[in-house]
Amino acid sequence: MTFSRLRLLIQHLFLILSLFAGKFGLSFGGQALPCLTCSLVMGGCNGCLIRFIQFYLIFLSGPGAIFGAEGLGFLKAIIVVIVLTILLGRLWCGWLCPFGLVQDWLSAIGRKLRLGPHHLSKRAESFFKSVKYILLLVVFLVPPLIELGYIHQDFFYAFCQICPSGVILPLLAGQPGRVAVNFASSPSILITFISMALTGCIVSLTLFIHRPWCRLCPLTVFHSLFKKFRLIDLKRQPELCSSCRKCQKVCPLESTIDLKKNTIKDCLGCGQCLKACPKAGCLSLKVASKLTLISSGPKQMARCD
Amino acid sequence: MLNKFSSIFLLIIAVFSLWPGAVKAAVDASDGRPQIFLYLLADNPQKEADGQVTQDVVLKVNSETNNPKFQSVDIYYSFSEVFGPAQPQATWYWAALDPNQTRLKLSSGSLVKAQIKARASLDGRFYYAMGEILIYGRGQNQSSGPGQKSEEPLWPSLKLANTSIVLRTGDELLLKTGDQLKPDGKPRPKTLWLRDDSLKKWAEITSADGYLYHYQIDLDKKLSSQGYAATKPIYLIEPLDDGGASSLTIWVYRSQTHGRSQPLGLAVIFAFMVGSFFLFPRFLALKPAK
Repeated sequence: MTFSRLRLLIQHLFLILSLFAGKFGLSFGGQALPCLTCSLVMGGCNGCLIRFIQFYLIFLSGPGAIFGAEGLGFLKAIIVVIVLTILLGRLWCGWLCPFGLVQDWLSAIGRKLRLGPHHLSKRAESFFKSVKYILLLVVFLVPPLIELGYIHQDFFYAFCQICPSGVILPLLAGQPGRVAVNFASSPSILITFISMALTGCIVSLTLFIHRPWCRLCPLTVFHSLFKKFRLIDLKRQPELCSSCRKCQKVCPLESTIDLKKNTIKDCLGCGQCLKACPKAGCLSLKVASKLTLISSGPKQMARCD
Repeated sequence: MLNKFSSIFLLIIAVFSLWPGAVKAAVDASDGRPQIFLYLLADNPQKEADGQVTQDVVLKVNSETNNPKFQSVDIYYSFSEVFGPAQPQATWYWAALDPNQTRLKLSSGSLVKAQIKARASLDGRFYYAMGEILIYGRGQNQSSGPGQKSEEPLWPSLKLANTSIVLRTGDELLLKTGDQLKPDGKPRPKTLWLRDDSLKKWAEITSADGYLYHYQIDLDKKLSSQGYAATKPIYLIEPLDDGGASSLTIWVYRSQTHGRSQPLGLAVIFAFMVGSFFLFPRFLALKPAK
């Protein structure tokens, strides 16, 4: 089995797990995961870290709660998420994230329709980055503001309410109820309208560019906090590199090479660059500093050691 | 290019979505979604000591779920003094309610709001229920006569617990009186009154046995013809009756699917898909990958 097929198989298996695991009693102790496994899927597996953070920001706002059972539960779960992030890094996005796979499907349809792939301009890239940090602010600021009474309680889980994975993943699990505008209150109308609009935009945009939501996802900020410690890394041999940038062109996130550290920023571990690199041995995907996969020259598949 | 795995998976999803049985199962799941039901009960026997009337209020919270797979329900509560002889306070604190009941002392004329949150997990997800109860500390000069259900009663002067919750159209209330029978053996009153505080309107809720009351909120039609602000509190007041137990249990059921428009949701998604299809390539200055 080739590297890309193995990845695809694991992506699909994890999608099935994230949609239906709960129905078979696999709840994994309610542990949050560092990828968009949406807890709005009834009978799915676990929620993502973002939902988890929003939830605890509400429940830890009272005095004493931080050092109580809730606080300890939060600490334990965060430690597990950090370990999971260090172990796999952004492979959570490239190999396991269910919404990442949905975006891969849509990109494949876009390529079939000859709409993509396209690259983002630098201006657009910085726009995406700004939106990502705004979404991060939403995650951290909205729950305490609700608790303090500045924001209506219907904005609880504001990020989850607008996240397109919260619309599309329940739909894939046969739960169409999330595709709706909620008229329960004015805030509900507003936030569900934003959610539907954002879902439409992301679905459309994915036909043109690879993984647009991954460029906006606040979880990537969490991943980048621990990128120094990650065990899986893509390395470049500078003496072999001809700076042709073919790796950057085929990268789903158009990641650039960090010339100082000789690594690719935000690597999803998809292996596309290993395939595209014309120089044998120039790029290598390493697990815990041990060589695993290397680029093996033009028109050849990467080799597994 | 769509490969084999993706094609097979999409095919399975398509078959699942179109199969009539599967659609029915999805609808059933949304109707019978897991819920936590919260019972709040404020028992406030009056005490008199050293010429000062105080109340030792016992707040009891019980919860029920409609799914046996629910793990244990955690209850949290907070109290805030809405109106008191000293100063109104807005101090809230959270603590686990143990063992499902707690006591607070109320001085004469004070009004305390208790907010209760319940949380339970099922299949790795958390579900919540929330309720509020207003408890009035009776003053020496503020007791009112029996059977008070006038058009605009002085609700803080009622002998019984006053309860406030924010309700919306479509909410269902199940109200349970503290005791089925009064101490003298007579049946409990068959009528409760639901009050729209902003418009000073009342709605009557009746019960067959004087014990369990069910009411579906239809604020626009039943409570007011002048429209209704959904976030204004509504007070549920048990009519006074001599010797009746001063307690009221409220069970609020809020259907999460209520008021959702799926066709509109689909229309918004489609509109933004089409709009962004034409606008984004230009707006984001997309360059074809070579």
